[in-house]
Amino acid sequence: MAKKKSSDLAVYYGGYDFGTALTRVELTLGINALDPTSLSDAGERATGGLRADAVALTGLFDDINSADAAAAALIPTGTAVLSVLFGQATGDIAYSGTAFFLAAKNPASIGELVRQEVEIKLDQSLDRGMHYAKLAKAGTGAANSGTLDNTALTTAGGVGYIHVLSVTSGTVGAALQDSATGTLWADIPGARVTGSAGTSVKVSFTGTLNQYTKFTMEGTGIGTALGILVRS
Amino acid sequence: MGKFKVSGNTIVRIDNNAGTLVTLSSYIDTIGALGKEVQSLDVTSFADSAERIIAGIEASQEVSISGAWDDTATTGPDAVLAVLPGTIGTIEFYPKGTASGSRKISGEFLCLYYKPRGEVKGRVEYEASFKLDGTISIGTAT
Repeated sequence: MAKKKSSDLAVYYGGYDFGTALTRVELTLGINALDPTSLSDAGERATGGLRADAVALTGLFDDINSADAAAAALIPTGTAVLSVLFGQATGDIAYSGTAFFLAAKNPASIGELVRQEVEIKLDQSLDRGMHYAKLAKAGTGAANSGTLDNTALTTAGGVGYIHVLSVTSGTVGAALQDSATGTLWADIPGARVTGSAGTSVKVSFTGTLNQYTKFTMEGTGIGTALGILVRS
Repeated sequence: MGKFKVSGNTIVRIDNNAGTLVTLSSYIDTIGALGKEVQSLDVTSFADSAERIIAGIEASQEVSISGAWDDTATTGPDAVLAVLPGTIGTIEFYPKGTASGSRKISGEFLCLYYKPRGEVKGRVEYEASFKLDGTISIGTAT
């Protein structure tokens, strides 16, 4: 556990890696403040209203980066999963949520690099969880992340996020799994996606989530994927 | 008694979401101005030759903290602050430390936001903002 530098950050949206395009990211976990002050109060009062989370992204245009490809593919299609990773190792913190890709614009002026302005609007709030190091699967057989030992099971369920970042051949399945022992694994219900590149899903689950968790890729294909787990 | 440098002296404690004060001084490099402030109400009448005022109720004020983002479990700023927006808890500010008799400024605050952010070539940072709910207490450490 530690402090981080800019190269520790990664941003994924809808199964696309935005990291190479961005120069700045800011998350806001916030609320609207309401004023309940009454005549009997000696000082102004404050109370929380609706949750008002937000994300702000700025960067540089690059026609081989996936932010540009994501803009072309996703802007009209509705919501996808946004994930911001604070570190690259299994167990590092990640914030995730579903969000609309509203706009991607490329302002330019003489003497400067062409910029990339990305506007993504969150639908509801961000979840704080831990991610598993990005997996790269080469051909047949499974690829597994390191295992997270969460100390104890929870009966409060949680939320899972999966990004399928690339599939260069065949079929790739990606799943979040849990285990009571660390040896016998099963999919967390609903937390599996078999898809093509540029796929992202959010899955909410209730009930027991076992002590040990990991992220796995299976199938015959070659590809990369990323999993994030939020335990309630 | 005298003047004091911030480093090694200033202590900031903030309630976590379970209502337990956590010392975050090791993760804070800036805190906004925090103290007592009242509203000024104008009571000037025709009989006055100069503007008159009286003190109103304590004005709400916002204070922010910021520093290097750190994912230390349980007691680090990300673990403590990420779950605070929308909750009201105690903030204690000790400008010159917590020795008995040292100045203590405290109050109940609504957490407005927590913002982790990163910019190329820089450290990952955070900022959190709090809005006073009620009145500030100016006292001393015990």
